[in-house]
Amino acid sequence: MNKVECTLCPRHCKLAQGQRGDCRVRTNVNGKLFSLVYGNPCAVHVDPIEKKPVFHMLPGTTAFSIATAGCNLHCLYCQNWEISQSQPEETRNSAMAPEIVVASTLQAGCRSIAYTYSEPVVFYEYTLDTSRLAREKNIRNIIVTAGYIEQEPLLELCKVTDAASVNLKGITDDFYKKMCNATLRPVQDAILAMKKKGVWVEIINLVIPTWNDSDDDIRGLARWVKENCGKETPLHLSRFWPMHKLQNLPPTPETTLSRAWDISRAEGLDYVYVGNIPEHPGNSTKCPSCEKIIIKRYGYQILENHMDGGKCGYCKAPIPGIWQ
Amino acid sequence: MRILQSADPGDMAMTRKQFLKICALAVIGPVLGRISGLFTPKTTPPNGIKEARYYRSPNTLAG
Repeated sequence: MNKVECTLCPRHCKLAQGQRGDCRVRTNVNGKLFSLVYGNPCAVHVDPIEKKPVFHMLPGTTAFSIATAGCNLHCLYCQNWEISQSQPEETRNSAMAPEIVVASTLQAGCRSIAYTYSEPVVFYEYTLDTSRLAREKNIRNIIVTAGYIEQEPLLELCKVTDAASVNLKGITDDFYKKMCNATLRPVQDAILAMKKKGVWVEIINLVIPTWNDSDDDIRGLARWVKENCGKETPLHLSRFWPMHKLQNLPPTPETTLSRAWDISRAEGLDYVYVGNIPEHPGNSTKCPSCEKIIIKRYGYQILENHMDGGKCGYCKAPIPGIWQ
Repeated sequence: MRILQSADPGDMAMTRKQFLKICALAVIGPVLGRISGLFTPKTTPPNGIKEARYYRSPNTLAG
């Protein structure tokens, strides 16, 4: 009686009166489903766009970054578990309507808004309304997401999304089941849908010792990205740091990330990056045509930028991304 | 039995019973706090309520 079924993400939570979804932020009130976090971010920061990470869009600019409590995944290694695995009652929230987010973005001199830290899928309505307003003010929208969302809401969001930093956490269903209590297929489908709709997609993979760091895992990931998204799709291989429920593991060794970097480039991907090791050469963008470094980075910092509009400043080869 | 002695035993000394009571409270207190925290909002209740866009209404659901 009075049950509702949330159709936002593949979990399809069926909720009785007063019950909350798996995400902790959507609830059934008298037979209607409500978001509990609309206009109530628990994290608001101005970040370098490179922190998202998005490397092929407006390098050196800042992104006004917001998040609410909740997430529809429960990854054992979550780096932001304090907010993602909390109810909105457990976080300190600000009252920030979409209009205020957009005004604050302009005031802070940011070129984009990033819906990030936890999971924009669970604060979908807030993301959608803010993105629409941002578009009117010529502000770019970035979603930083695990991509665990149904197609219909995703396609609606794609209309106002410029870039997506999608966390493809592993390349097997077994990994998703054990690590995230989720499934792989919807994430792959979401990535493909975003590409098809013209959203600029960069794929992130956190390389976790013993979980997804074998040669086969990395090769499988790089192959899937190349064959389905194209070799021009950036792949970020990030260093794992022991967090949340995976504190028994060591940080990913640098040698593992260098090996993963080599394997992914050998598979034919043009733009493979190494994250969370600032001094690693894999932080910089190389032109696949002349092989010169066109954007030299130290972590999130841009040290040199030799882009000429959307082209390599040396050989004039086009570099995919959003540069203006 | 006195297990702690001070300069003025009449005022300050603690009996074993008192000592055990304090130990028990030190153990039980955080547990009770934790349990009550499950039912009490830690900060402000959410006020960002808005009807969601994607869901199915009761009429289309069985049970």
